[in-house]
Amino acid sequence: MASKAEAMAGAKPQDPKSQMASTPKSSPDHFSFTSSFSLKSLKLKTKQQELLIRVTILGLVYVLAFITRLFSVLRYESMIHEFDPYFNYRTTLYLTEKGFYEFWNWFDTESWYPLGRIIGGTLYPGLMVTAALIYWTLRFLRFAVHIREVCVLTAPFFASNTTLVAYFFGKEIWDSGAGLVAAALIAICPGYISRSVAGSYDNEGVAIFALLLTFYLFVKAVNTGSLAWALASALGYFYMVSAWGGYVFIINLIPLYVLVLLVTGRYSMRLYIAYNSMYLIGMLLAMQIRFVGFQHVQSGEHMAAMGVFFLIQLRNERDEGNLLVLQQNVFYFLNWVKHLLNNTKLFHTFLRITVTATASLGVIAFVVGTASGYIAPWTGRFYSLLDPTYAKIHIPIIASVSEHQPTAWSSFMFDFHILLFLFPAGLYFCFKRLSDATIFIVMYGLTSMYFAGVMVRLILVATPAVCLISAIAVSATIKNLTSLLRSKSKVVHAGSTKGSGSTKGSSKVSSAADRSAPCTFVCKDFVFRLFDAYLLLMASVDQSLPYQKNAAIALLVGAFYLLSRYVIHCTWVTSEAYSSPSIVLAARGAYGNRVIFDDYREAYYWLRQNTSPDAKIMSWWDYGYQITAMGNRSVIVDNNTWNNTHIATVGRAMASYEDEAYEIMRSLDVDYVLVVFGGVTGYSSDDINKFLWMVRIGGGVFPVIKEPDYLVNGEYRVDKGAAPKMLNCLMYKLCYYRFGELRTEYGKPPGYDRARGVEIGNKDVKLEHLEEAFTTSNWIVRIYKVKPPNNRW
Amino acid sequence: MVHFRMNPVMQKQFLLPGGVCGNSLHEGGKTGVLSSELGEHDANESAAQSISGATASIAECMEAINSMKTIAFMIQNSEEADCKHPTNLIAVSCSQRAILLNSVSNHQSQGLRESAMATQLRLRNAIAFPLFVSLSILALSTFAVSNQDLQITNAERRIDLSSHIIKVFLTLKVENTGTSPASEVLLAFPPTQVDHLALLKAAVVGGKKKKRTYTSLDVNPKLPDGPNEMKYFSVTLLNPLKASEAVTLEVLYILTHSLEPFPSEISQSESQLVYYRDSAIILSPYHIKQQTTFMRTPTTKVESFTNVEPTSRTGLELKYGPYSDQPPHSFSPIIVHFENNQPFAVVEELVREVEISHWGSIQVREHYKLAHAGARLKGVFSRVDYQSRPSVSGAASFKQLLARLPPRVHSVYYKDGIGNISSSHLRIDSRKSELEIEPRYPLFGGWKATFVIGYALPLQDFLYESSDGRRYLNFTFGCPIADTVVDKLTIKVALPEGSRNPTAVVPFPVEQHLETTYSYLDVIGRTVMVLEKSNVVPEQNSAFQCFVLHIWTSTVRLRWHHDDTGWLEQDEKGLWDVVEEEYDEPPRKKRKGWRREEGRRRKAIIG
Repeated sequence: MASKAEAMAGAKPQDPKSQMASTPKSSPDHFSFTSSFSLKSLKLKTKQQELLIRVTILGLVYVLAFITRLFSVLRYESMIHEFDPYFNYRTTLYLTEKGFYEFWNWFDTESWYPLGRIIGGTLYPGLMVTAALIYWTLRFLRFAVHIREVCVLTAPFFASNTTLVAYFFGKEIWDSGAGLVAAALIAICPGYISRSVAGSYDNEGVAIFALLLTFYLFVKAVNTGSLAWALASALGYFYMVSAWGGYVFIINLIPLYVLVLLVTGRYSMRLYIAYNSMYLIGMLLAMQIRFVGFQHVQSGEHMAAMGVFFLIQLRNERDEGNLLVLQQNVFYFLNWVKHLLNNTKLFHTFLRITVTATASLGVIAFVVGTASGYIAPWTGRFYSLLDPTYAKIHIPIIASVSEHQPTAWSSFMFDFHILLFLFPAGLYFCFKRLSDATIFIVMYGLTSMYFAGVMVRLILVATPAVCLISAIAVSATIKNLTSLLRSKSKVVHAGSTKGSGSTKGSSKVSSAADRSAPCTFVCKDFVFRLFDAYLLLMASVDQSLPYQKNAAIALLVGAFYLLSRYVIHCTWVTSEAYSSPSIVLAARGAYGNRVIFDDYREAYYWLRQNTSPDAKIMSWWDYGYQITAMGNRSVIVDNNTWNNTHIATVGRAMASYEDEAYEIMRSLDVDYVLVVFGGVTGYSSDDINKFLWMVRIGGGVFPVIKEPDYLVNGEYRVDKGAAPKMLNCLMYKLCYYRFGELRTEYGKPPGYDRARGVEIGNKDVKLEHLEEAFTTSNWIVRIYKVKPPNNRW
Repeated sequence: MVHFRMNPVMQKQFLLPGGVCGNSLHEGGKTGVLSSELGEHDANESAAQSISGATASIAECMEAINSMKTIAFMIQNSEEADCKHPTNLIAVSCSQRAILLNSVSNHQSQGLRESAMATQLRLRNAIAFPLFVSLSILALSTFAVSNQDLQITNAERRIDLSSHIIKVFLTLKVENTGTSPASEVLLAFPPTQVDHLALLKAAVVGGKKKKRTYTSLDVNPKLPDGPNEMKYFSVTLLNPLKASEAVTLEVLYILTHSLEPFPSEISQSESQLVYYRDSAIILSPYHIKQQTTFMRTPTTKVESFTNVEPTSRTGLELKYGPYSDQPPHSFSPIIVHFENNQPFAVVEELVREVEISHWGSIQVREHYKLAHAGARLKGVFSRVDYQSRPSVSGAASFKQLLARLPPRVHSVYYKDGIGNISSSHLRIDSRKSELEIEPRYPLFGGWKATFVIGYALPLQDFLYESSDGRRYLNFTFGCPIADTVVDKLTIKVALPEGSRNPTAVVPFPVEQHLETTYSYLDVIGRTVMVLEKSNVVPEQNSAFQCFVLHIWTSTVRLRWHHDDTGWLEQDEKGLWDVVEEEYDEPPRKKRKGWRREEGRRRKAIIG
């Protein structure tokens, strides 16, 4: 404890300095480095110089965030990536062609044959409307752009905007320096880039912007207590709700934050105003989104927000000073009751009864609501967030998606790089200068890090928090170190800091720090210990000036080295890992040349041009969106996995023998079957490798399909030793039809599967009810026509 | 030639659908109206005899008789108007119905002419005759005159069947046997060919053997149509052909969609067989003294061909004739069944958007709807077979096309509705640019592909200023892809903003209208000149260098370069030669055999 105190003491003189930097308007003389700066010749005032530098940096970061996401356009072309973006693109196209009314009432007959899909009621329209608005604006300004270009560049554009929000957010929670660093970090952070490269036209692209904007506006509202900011925050929330299902995170995090503030005794009128207006207006606005509807009052996932809303009404402003118990909180009108009763004891009894009654009523209402089905229980996805093993056991369709897998450490490292180490450092600084805003960012960081650990795709949600907190660490450290370097006027500085110690900001911080004392977080302790060493060093170098300077220089160089490594890493990751459209596959040829496999589009375009317009295509659901968007044909199932039974039926067909599958396909009016096969090219994410999921999902609904039938001693194989059912199921036959005649690799027998590295077990595949209709040039997509039934006469 | 005769019973049935007219025809027949061989047969017999041809179906004959009724009606009327002479009617029917009445013998022509004159005079005297009838009869009569004035002493026809675009080179030596000078020569086409006629050009040959010169001539459709919907085109001679003088004409015409795949569905490994239908004898309104027809098939594999003696086949060449002394409108249907695995690339619709930029470039976007118009693919497409035995499997398919773009082309792209198509190669040299494109998948019979080719060109290569200060853009009309037929071609030329009232001059009839479009940063929009034409073949690229745009504003004026004859001057830089290379070679270079002959002709006609 002693060392801790010492560390605190050591850090203390630097703390107000950073405060000073955050309020440069009040003490412009602090920027002594400007005296040696060439900008002086422009005869700008210090404030203007600082503004100029800030705007320039921000502008550069804005541009950087955009252009670093253009690798895919330069490497490949301006195209839509992956799976879901194709649906978004298709709907956007529809929206721009037919208008909003038609779009909102669109019943899509091309998907989920024969069920169809009500598009307007089952999608988050924010992305499409955004892109369409940009498109219409550009068109109005006579920029003859194609809607595809708009869609491709929407995500980078919003990523750029996110950097701006990150700057203001950083400025709000720490200072403008931290804001700039946060903007720079988030501009190139791979965790965010993975979802926002050009062409990645997905909800997340705009949703992260909306998420951060909502958080920023809410923090701003909490800090200022202004209704306007709260309203803006509600609008931000509305945008978020319209854009992505991840809004549930907001509607749970903000109440949690409010609750934490309540518990830690940081309740204030500002919070009351901010939360109430944001929650109420946000909720009402969110109900306008058809897909969300009344979930805010009916779904278990949203009940926390409502609970906190009622709870906050229980707070009396007068009791703000009291840190401890909820019991002592009263309604505003309770003041009046108290006045009436005129007896403290009686009043306390009354209070206890009221509170208990209200609480029990709430619990009963919740229980009854849940039991009667009025309040929907938590969804599977929500459960799987709380319990990572839940999906694997209960919902194979969620578990089958690779981005829903628990995150490996390597992908944390891959997506965050040095931020992973800066994050705890930033947490330390946040705890050191605890305020409403820093508590928020700490909570955001910790919760989102947990979710990021549960699901790979949620790294995305954690990224802004990680960047902001790391930015605080970077900014604070560098600021401390540089202030050591320009320490010739150190004594003067110390005096001036003391003099300005009575500014509003620092007093708030110090009181916040005091208040946080009773709260003991485990991680806080951990973080404190971690940084004791570093701060001890700082404290010790305080004593000998030359040594201290050298150490500061060394540390600064180290920091810049780390940051430059971060930049290199980010660029490398962006260019190598996250800029592949996954529709077009690229590989290195034997002579180092680039070989392009464009088989997907080949197949989809063949479908589009050479099959009857009402043909129904059966494929695994992964390719549904792409077939409807690029092939313009009806599909049985697609990536909107709303009907598990339908998907299971397709899984069952794929896993059955041909004649059984034929019956299923006939009953679904299937005209063509499409399979993806990587045996010739060595493309590993093909249908054979996904096949076990089809078996599991099919078996989940139809118990005739049993996973062990396809395995040999628990092992999944396709060679001679494979299970007989495996060797004769439809999927195997369609993938390997006539593959046995093909020699894929020199020195290997014909029928050598390059994706799995084995010679296939069944080389003599005969098809009875299907015939090969088309196979792409590299065999990646194979399409079979379902023959009409034989004549019975 | 195979003639068939009907027995009277058959003939009765045959004439019945004519109804009243049929009866009148019959009456006419009694008076010898349709007797082509006077005094030798009765009318019925001769009418029956007139239907000739080995494969002429009954239905065809019915149709012919049906369409005869108008004439027959007129005949009846004219009979009423004191017109009892049988021969005048023969004259009429000869010109109108001659496809059927090909047995009109040569020695009658003199008499026919005289009688036609007589008809004319008499008809003029007819008082109660409806005006339109008299007019048409007048026209017919003048036909008859010109018919008989000219005769073709020697005709040679070469039909190139080596691709799906059929090129026919016709050399006619025309002699004026009449007394008055003739200013035009008629070419006749059966209706089936007229529908598929993409191009028709004629040139007159001058000079001696060594120094031959070719002067192109105007060719225009001539109304009214001939009998049985036969269409006439008149070639206007430079100088009227005086009596007993002769002139040699070279005619090129191109037919599309004239090869019918048979069988119409083939499997992947089969090669494609097609039918070609034509007449062994050149259809002409004139008497032809001597004629020969050569056909060149793409391979030596010819399943069958109609034998019209003398017919012979050597290697790739199929020879019909020589036939001598064929009367006007002789027709002898033939069918040739042969192998043709050439790409049957048909662009069902092509929209070329040409956008002229203020900034010195022309942006061209071409939207293609390509189809394989050959025999449809039956059953499976097997990639294994296609890859492992490329020569055998998929012989009738094609996967590559060549687009010849202007030189100095840049910013070329090749894409479709879902993005870039990576399989293309661009070769640029100083004279031309060649873009080799592969659709996403090989095209089998019946398969389709749509795609877009876009490129930019420097404006100074195409924009000129005429002496009156107007500016004109000189651009190619047709489709840059070699060996394709374009069923419907639309060219949209977006002029720079502010241009008004453009006019286009195209040397062949096209539909035109104006539109407005908005491009980058436009305020009032750009005027778009839209030109539409159906059935376009690549030969129209080089010859018809498109249209003239006059824009009557002071800012920008566009006009096309154009000379008196309707043939474009060849000296502009902007012209690029898309004619096959052999025509670019100097004429002194030796060429051999068929190709040489064909080359010479084509050069002559194309110019």
